[in-house]
This record gives sequence, C-alpha cells and structure tokens, in this order.
Amino acid sequence: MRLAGPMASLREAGDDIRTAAGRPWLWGALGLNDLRQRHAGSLLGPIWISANMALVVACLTFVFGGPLGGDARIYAPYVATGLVLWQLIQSSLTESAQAFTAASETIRNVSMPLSVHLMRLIWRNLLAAAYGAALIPLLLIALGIWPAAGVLALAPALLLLVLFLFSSGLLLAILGARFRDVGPIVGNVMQLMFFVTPVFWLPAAIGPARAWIAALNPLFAFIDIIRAPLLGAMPMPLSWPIASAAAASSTVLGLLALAAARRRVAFWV
Amino acid sequence: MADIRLSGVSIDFPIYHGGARSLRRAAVETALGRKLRRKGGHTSVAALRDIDLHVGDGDRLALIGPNGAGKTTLLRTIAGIYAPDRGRVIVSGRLTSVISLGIGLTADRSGLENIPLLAMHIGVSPAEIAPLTDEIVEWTELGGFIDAPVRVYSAGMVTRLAFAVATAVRPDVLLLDEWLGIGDAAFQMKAYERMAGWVGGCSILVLASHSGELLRGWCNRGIRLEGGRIAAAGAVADLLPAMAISTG
Repeated sequence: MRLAGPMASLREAGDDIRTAAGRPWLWGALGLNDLRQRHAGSLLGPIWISANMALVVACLTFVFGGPLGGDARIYAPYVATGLVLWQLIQSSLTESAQAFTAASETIRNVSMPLSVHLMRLIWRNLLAAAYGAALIPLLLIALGIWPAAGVLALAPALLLLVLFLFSSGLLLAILGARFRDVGPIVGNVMQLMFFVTPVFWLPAAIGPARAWIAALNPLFAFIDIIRAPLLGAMPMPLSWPIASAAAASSTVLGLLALAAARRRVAFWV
Repeated sequence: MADIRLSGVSIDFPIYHGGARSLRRAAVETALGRKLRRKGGHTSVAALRDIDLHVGDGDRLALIGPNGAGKTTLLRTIAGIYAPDRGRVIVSGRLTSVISLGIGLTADRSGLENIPLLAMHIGVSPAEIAPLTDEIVEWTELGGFIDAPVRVYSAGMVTRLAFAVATAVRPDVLLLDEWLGIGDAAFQMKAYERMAGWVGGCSILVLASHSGELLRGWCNRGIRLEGGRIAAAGAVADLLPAMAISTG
C-alpha cells in the first residue's frame, strides 16, 4: 500500500509551505545569518554590496551611457535598478539548485519543512538586494526623476517576483538534489541570460527586428514591471501578462514537484 | 499525552552511485525505456521491514542492534525525516529528535549567538529559548568564551554548548541517537545528571545506543533490530545478552 495518493501528496506539499511560512523566525534568522556570515570579519560588511553596486553603475554609465542607453540622465538609475533586480534573480535561481544539497545535514537530522530552505535563500537575497538598492533613491533624487503613478504597483510586482523565485526555486532545488548536473546548467543559463536580457541595455538598442528577444523574455518582464514605474515610465504592454503567466506556471510546477518529491528528498541529499 | 504508533512500516533506501545522479544517464534511460534501468540503475537496500511498534506514555524504549540494523533509520522515521514506502507512522505530542548534536552551529558566530540558532533547528523558537539563555550559559561553564566565535572552541566546548541547548526544553517525545559517549569524564557526569532530569520530564524516550549500561539505566523496555526487522522485543536485560552474542 502506498501511503500517499496524488491528492494527499499535494496537500502535504501545501502543508510544507504553510508551516514554513508560519515560522518567519526560522528562515528570517537563518537568512540574516547567511548574509552576515558571507561578510563576516570585513570592515564594511554588507555595505560592500552597496559600494560594489555604486562602482559598477558608475563604470557602466561612463562606458555605455551614450551608445546603449540613449538619454544618459536616465541610464544611471536604469542600470542600477536593472542590476539590483538581476542580481536578486540570478543568485536566487542559481543558489536554488543547491538549496537542498547545501542543507543536507539539516534535512537528514531534524524534521523541518523543506520550504524553509528556499525561504531562507530568498530572504538572504532580498536583504542583499536591499543593500544594493540603497543607491537607487539617491540617484533618482540627484537626477530629479519622479516615479510614475504606476509606482503603486511596486508592491504587487515585487510579490509576483518573489512568488516566481520561490516556486521555480523549489523546482530547481528538487531537480538539483536528484541530479547533480542541474546546478552547473542553471549557472550557465543564467550567465547567458544576463546578456540577452535588457539589464544594462535598453530594449530599443537592438532594433525592432529583434525586439521580441526582450519583449518575450519573462526575466525582463519581471525587471520591467518593477523598474519602469520607478523611472517614471510605463512597463511594456506585454510585461505584466508575461510575468503573471511565468509566476503562475512556476507555481504549478513547483507545487507539483514538491508533491512528487517531498518524501524522497531526505534520501537524495 | 504522547504516543507513537508504527504499523507495517517499510523503507527502502535508494543508493545512488555516481552515474545514477547524472542527467545524461537519466535521459538515455528514459529514451531507451525501463530495461536499462533495471540492469544499471539504482540499487536499494531494505532499511526497515514491516515494523509494528507502539510506544505510549511512560515508555522508555531502547533500540538495540548491531551497526546497520536500522536503529538510526527507525529514529529518523519516527521523527518524520524519512517517509515510509509502506505502512503508517503516527506520532502525537511535541517531538524532539537529537540524532546528531550541533545541527545549525555557525562557526563564525559567538556561543551566545549560536544558542537561538541551535534551538531553532530543533524546533524551538528564539522567543522560547530567550528566557532559558542564562541557565544554558551557566551550565556550559564556558565563561568568557561564550562571547567568542565558536570557531575557536575546543570540540568539548562545542559539545557542551550544543548539549545544553538540546536539553533546555522538554519535549513530550524524545528521540536520542548514540551521542552520549562524548566528552571527558567530568562532562559525562555533568551530562548524565542533566539528562536524567530532562528525560524524567518527557513522556516517551526512544534511545538508540550500543552502551548496555546506558540502556539498562534509562530504558524500561526494548526492541532488538536485525536487518531492518524487529528480531525480539521485551525487557532490556533480556535483549542485551543476545546483542553481545550476535556481535561477538
């Protein structure tokens, strides 16, 4: 007799996520601890993230502000916001593939919802993103750019991105626990995506014939719905639908993967 | 009210060789159908077989058996870490499992900062551990070291800290694996005292150990596992000699 039918497995997967979400003191503290750990012993600590961001934005603006960015005034906050969001997306997805294998000692020795490891991972990347983002309001004020009325959509846009990162992270973590090739694959794909996603270049720069590369890229959609209103512009018409569709499908896939594999992960890691 | 009930529990432990984790191999096997998988695919080991077990309030259960008999697997199954392939596991009451000491320890943080980190890994929230912190610090006798990073601790100091946190809160169901034979003689005595008080406050204790002295001292019933099956059950004293003979 198999203990869990498909419905029971789905319910257990839902319970796993709910229980984890109900313990913010757990993933919150672990995520913060990870961030502090990463910068342990350094003088500036996580402020290095802010400093590094400022340096990169200054350099990119100097080199590309003219040729790729059109209006140099808008380019600095454009690339700053793009890089902060990209860093969040890239490190979340890349680290997700190792989320369970990195926590193997915990998974095999204490009873804890698997989702905790993903929430911890996303929380530490959100905290790191907050340090990087410190530069953005300064730039906007210095350059006299006022966010558009659409800035009210910032909260739902961020929530949608977090939902996407969490659910696709679950999927990657499960695949990564079972197949050790997944980590390097995700790393490579994300590296490639950095260049084909309008993070540091404007979608207009590649001409109308290739516009679809930007318009249909779900990662750009997430960046666009957060970045455009901050810079006083409207997101591209397809961005919200694409981001919503991406988040919805990753939620379904992540939930199915958790339902199918939740009981096996402890044997895999 | 604490209660553990296992009926017909079996677990097969999948063993992955280097190749079985490869995506390429999985793709090839899927493309060629299941035949290949049986030949070159995963091997599994029967870790637990048809375990029927009921542990109730006041029971102090000893898990006895040679290495590889399934003691730790059974503890992990009761703790909900391993899900059984067949059968049911029902546990009621707050459960703490200390299968490995020091899970969640962060070497670069101080002993004091590690107290909530260690606690939350066994399901104890920072709010719950905070009022117990002074007592833990005092018991560890770490003195000024409590503010130093755990990285500089000796193995014995780490053990004292992890042990004090693990035993700060009393659960209803307590699962312990062989980790009590650690530290020097003075620590052993001190740990023994603290354990006695702690175990006394729990409704159920399940203890896996090779130490006959420990099992006789703390348990009022036992099961002997062999090859993942319950080979015998009864009084600890009756089971121990059999273990001594079977392990030679």
